[in-house]
Amino acid sequence: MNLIKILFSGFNLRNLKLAAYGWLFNIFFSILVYLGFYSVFSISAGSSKIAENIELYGLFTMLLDIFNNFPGSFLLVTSISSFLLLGYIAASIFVSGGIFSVLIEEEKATFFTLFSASIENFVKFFKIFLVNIINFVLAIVPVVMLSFFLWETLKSATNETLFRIFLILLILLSIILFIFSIAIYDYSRIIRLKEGRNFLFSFRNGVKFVFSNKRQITGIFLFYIFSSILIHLMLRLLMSSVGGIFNFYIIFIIFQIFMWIRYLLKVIVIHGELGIIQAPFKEEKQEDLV
Amino acid sequence: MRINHIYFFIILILISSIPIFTQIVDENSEIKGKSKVSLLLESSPEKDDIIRYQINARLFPKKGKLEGIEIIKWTNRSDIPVNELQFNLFYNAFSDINSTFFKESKIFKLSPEELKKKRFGSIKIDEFKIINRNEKSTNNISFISPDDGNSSDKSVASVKLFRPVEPKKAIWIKIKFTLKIPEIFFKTGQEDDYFFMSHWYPRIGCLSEDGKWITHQFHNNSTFCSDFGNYNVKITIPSRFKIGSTGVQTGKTEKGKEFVEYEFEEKNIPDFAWVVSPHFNEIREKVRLKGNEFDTELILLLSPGHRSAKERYLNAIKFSLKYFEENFTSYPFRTLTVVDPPLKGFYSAGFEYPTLISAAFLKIIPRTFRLSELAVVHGICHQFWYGIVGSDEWSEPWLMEGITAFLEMEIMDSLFPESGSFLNASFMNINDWEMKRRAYLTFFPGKRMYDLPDNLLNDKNFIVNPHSGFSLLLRSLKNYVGKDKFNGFLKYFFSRYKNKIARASHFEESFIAYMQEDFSWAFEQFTSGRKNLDTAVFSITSDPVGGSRKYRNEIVFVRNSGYFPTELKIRLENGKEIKIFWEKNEKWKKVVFDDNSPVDFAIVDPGFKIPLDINLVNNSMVIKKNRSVFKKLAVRFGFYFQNILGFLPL
Repeated sequence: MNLIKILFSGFNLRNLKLAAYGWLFNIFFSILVYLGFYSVFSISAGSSKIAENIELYGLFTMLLDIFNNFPGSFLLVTSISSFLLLGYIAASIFVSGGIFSVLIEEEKATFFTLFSASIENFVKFFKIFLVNIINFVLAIVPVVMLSFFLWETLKSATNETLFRIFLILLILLSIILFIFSIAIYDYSRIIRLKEGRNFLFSFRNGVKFVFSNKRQITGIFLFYIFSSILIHLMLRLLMSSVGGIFNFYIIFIIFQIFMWIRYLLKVIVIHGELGIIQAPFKEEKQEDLV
Repeated sequence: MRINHIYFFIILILISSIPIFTQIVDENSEIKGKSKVSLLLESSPEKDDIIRYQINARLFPKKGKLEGIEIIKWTNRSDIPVNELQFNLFYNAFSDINSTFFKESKIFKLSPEELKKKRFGSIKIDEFKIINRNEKSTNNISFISPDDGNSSDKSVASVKLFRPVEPKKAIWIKIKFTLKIPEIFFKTGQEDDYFFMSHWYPRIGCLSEDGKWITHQFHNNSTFCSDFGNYNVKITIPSRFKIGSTGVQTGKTEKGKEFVEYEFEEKNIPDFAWVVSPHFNEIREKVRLKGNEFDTELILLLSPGHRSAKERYLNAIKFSLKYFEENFTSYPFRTLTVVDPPLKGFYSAGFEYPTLISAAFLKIIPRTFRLSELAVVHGICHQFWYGIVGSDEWSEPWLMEGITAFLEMEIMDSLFPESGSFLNASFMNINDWEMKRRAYLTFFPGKRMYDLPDNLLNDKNFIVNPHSGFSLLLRSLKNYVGKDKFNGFLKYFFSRYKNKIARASHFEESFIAYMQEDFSWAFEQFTSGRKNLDTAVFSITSDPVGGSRKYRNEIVFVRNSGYFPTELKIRLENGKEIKIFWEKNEKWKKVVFDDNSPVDFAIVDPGFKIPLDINLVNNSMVIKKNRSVFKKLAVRFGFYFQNILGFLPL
């Protein structure tokens, strides 16, 4: 019950602002992507009506001919996308510096506060990110290895119904590893800011904390995963109506609201994580949380 | 005089036949089951000159071995005496990494340790005898490599005869053979207790009318030239196995407690394949097709855990048979067996043999990807265009594959009219014809379909791409002449070359003859030539005519490459449309006219009837760009990207 209270208390004005701060960076990069795609299509198609004849040719054929006749355009799209992806990872580290700081220090969520905290914490958080690469790799390796092992075992199996069972198990394992991996990353950052110790200390204590509070953390992330799935399903519904009855500007705006909700969910997760670390719970009372 | 000669000839045949018959009877004592008399009658040279195979085979699953005895009745249909016989011994393609097949495939790149784990196979001829001459020729067998000169390849055998087979004369050949069954590298072999047995028996090569053998080695990228024959095959397998096979099952005999012998027969087919596994889930349904006086039995052999594929397979099978029934001719055989290979035998998936198709289903691939339907539809098209009309697939692999791919596109489009017939996903729909066009675009420029055999050894994708090109040419021609007329031609070509080996030249001649119009321009450019098709709008100008409200509109269309008659459309800003059919074979066409309105856009092939065109971007030109279309597209792709970014944690 306490965990639910903590998560519910996350729906407050400050967190809404923090989510907006995260979304701002997302939209900044996304606009670059939108402009990039627009330029590529517009320049590649030149004065052709190929894009207007999409119903006749099909999307795949239209893209095929554009990329086939202007090979540079495909290279341009992929290189811009890769560059933006790397830039976005850096921006995420930057943004999280502000959001974590405001949440931990319980400051007012103004743009100035967030931005200055982001600048102040960027190097610290970047180091934390680097050390957590081990954590991400360790989370991915078992999934990859198990996938490979299962494939090698099951490809010679007589009954392939086992595939489904093992696939479900693999997904469950991936979810568990994802939860712990992200939680370790989050707590490394929280401890880095709260304790003011170096990044290795923060990482080590982040790992310790996560493994001594498994149930609460799993509860928080399950809330995040199910909410995200719900949001994603609603998004899919929206995507299917693109080009339909709504003007695409309206759809674009609705989509941005969904994106902002997704950031809000993440802020609430951090809020929940902080709730656990701040609450003076004793080990024996921790089961009350779930 | 003449009559006397005939009588003399008949008496001579009867006298000379006595030792032959005696010999066959003696030899047949080794062939169990079939009565000696019926074999004699069936093998009678006066009856017809079709090749007849009678095979007795026994599978030893635990040893990965098969033993067989084969009697072939073969007639020299050429006008030249034949001194040599040629045979396909395809299982030798899997004997070691020096075979042509392995050299063409990637397996030779494996490390020695990895190669040691591979289970190779082979076919050994234990005895070779011309029965009616009592000539034992086992020692006269040598291996030849007519395609690539690879002396290590043993997939084609040559047998020197002690004396020639005179024109129109028949011989009976007895071959005892033993197979060491390999793991399934490609098309055939064994994986545990799943056996897909194709290319398994010694098969006589094709003898052309001029007395030359067309016998190709086993290749990684090509299929073969197969002569048509009548088959009677008995297969003995352990009782616990279930069997699927080419042809109609005509017998089943218990052989002790643990073995059972199945007998299958089929006439006028180019090959014979079968499959066994104890785990198949067998589903049988009967359909009566228009014009047939018998029911065709659909036999679906599903692998364990593939139950969800059942309806997909049956739907695709029935739809395809119906399509052929309505548009061409009904499937003429009494059975159609569709085998659904298990994952462990997936290298045998997606191939077709007479009345036997190996389909494809993977549990990990979502049903939005129409792999299973595609494999079945493709396989059924091949029942007609390979199973009934043959070709020399090594020399002209694009011909039958192209016709099959064309029909596959037509059927898949009809089967999934509302959605992607290849992929139906939320982010993108892709049709089967779009995939064919993609393959074709990666093939050009400057490669001819006729260059194929020279390139097959070096280029893995060489076979896939040009037959896609031929299928697109056929679709373009269909749209040009009209669907009914085109289907009429296919029907005509089919009936003309039924149970014969058709050549590309036959196809082209038949097309021109049927259409009563010279279409040599199409074949000379796009099959035997190196041309690609690219028609474009070159320029549009709309200048005011001095002092008046009129505009001088000038539009130039250009043929950058190739020629195909096409429709042109010009639309003015006031909504007026001008349509021109550009039939003349000229490099460019200028259209000039005065009107109150300037030009809005011009477009080549506005109905997209010519998918052979390699560049759709230059097919149209507008004066004022519609930017909202690009915005919509950018938003669509931007959504996907932003969505991915949003998933990255803060």
